[in-house]
Amino acid sequence: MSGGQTDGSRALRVAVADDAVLLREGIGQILRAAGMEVVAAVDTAEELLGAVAEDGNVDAIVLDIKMPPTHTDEGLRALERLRAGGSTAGVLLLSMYTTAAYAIRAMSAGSGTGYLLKDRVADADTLVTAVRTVARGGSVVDPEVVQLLVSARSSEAAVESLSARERDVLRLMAEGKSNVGIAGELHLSLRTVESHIGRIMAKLGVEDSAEGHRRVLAVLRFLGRDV
Amino acid sequence: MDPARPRFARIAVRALAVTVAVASNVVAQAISAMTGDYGPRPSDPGWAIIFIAVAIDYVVCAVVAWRLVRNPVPGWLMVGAALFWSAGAWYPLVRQWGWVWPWVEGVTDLWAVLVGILVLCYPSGRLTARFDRVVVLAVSIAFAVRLGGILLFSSPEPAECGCVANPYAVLPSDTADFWLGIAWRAVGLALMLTVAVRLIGRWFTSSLPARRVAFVMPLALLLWCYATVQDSLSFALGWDGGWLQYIPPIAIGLIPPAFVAGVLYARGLRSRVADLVIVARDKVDRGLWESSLARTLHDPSLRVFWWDEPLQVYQTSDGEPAPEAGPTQRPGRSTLAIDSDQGPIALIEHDVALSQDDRLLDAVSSALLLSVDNDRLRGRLERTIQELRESRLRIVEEGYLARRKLERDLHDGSQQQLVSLAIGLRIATAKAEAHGDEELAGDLQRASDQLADALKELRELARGIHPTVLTDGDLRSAIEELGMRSHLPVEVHVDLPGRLPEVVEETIYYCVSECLANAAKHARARNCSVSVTRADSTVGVVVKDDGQGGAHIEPGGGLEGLRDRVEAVSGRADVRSVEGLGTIIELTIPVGA
Repeated sequence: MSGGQTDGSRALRVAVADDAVLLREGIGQILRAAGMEVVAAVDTAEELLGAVAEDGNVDAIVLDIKMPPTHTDEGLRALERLRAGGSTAGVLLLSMYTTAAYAIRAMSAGSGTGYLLKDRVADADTLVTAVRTVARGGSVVDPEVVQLLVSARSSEAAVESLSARERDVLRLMAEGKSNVGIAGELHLSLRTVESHIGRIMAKLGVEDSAEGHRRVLAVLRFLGRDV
Repeated sequence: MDPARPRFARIAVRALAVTVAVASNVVAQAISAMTGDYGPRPSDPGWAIIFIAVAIDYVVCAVVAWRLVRNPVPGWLMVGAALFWSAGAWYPLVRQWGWVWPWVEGVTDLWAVLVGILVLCYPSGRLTARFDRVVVLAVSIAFAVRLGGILLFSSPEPAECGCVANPYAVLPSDTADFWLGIAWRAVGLALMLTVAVRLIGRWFTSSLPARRVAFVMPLALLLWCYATVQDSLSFALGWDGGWLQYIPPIAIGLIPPAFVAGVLYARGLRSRVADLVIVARDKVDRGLWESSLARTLHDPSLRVFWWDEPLQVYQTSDGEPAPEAGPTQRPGRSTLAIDSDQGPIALIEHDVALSQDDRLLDAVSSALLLSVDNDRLRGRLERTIQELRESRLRIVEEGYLARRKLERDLHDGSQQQLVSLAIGLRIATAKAEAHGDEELAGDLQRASDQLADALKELRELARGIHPTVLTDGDLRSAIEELGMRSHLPVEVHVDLPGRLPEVVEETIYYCVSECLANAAKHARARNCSVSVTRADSTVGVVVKDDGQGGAHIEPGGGLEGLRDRVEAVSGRADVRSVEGLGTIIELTIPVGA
């Protein structure tokens, strides 16, 4: 486990919202263990929005998608309200199931957004890394969602024409990894990664925009099609 | 037992009786003509022909009556009358035989007794009214007395009658014989007049159908009464009626044709009753049925009171209740209750004349029973189908709710707890690492990995139990999700103003899922489209692919399962799949306005 502060400045201030108490406490414990400050732990989206507004200085929010009262998409709607209110705090959405439509909807909300399976919180590094990523404006998409979408498209000519390496790069791109992150994960040089990305985008016919959530969204939209 | 044999025997007996009756008349007349000995009767060939004609008339009507009336009695009465009709002709021929002629003379009038009974048992062959039975009893006693009187008292002078002495006359008395003859004729005339008056009275007071059913009978009877009076007068006063003497045989000859004609007429009505079944074939329109029945039976006053099951009363189709005291009490009316094994159906109030023919009313009963039973069966079938439909939908709904609850319980319970447990393990692992206990850290890590696998399996299981995507989002996002998961590019068009019933959404979800899987797996399609639109009270789902086509619903196939799902929510599934041209699957599901 890496240290609490990324850049030597103050600890990340995180708010947690989940209606399952055990889970909420567990998440808080992991985040605190990683040196973050849990400023609020609540069980509804409404309380979360209140707490975030009151605090005014929250860096990241960990948010269950299904919460009272309807147990449907409260988390997503809270995210959309936060963004509509101008908040730039990182938001990590947790869900028991992977739903591609939700992933795309989350990414559409803007940068600093993540969408993870709840199971991932047990893997402390994944949760902590994801919270840090969204806190600094990066994107996180659960590998399972990406895997599902890529395999659904695997028979298509555009995806089929990708080499195995290019597919790995595509997957990591969709998961929200930066070029540097991809290079690190695949043990490639940054230049090699950049040239892979250029070829992938050309083959898929997706505009090679800048890094960040726009690229993630573009790739997800290509994979999800028409959504 | 072989049914052909008694039938053959019956025909043989009847043929023999008819032959004997006709032969008896013909032979008697022929011998009379040859010997020129007619006794006291008119003696010319015209009369002989009239006598034979009347006998033939009777036997022909007897044969017809045997065919028309279930009861053989009227036919036998006619044959008997024809046989004894010849007795008068035999008398002069046998008067030389003392042991025969008193008997022959005694039965000379038996034909009249038989004809009287025939008239009274019209049309069924049974004496239904008490009055009729009393009359028949009286005439039988009178006849027996008359026969006994002839045997015991008759001892005419041989010179007067040209006959030998009566061997049975133990108390020869001309006076007694004479007065008994007078009394016999008087009693016979009185009884006949009573019957005639009764029939005529009934005819005048009865309604149209009754008059039509027995139109010739009273006329024939009246003529016969007149003939008897005339006959009696000529017997008592020795009066010669001139040409009027031809009236009696004509009147007598008219009676059996009147009988047969009446029965035939009623039979015609019966055959028209069959039309009632056609009237009621589709559904018993009660008003129409009543008017059809009235028309068929020629009884405009006929009314049908239908049994109202909830109210437990009989009432007309307009809701007018049956008379309290019972319609039977109205004069000239009779009622026919029609019941099935399911309970009462109707009460038909009709002219009393119609009840003279059981077969006619039987036919009416049968026609109505058939129609009503048909109606009831149809109604019961429709109700049963409706109940089945509803119970099937309830079962499907309950299944849906149970599965959703199970998924919710898993989500809120086991899954959350297992994730918490995973977090606990993770924290413990971190602590073990911090304390440098590598072995413990390794054990905990393996437990965490197992738990992660278990969580993944549980998640897949829960997703199979109930598509959470439907409860999390709406049908549109669920179908879009299906499109994304599909290996084909899927164009999704969902145009719904609001949510549909949950069971319907789930049905559509699974059906679309099945169709997309088929398109990718079997049809080898390249493109697919799904459209869901709402039109008033139905929702239409169309899934098209450009695959190889040729799909059809077959037992045990995926499409059959799809159709079952759709039909469980009262919907319909149509598959249009042409070889080489792709497949279009169209679902239409009612969703209440």
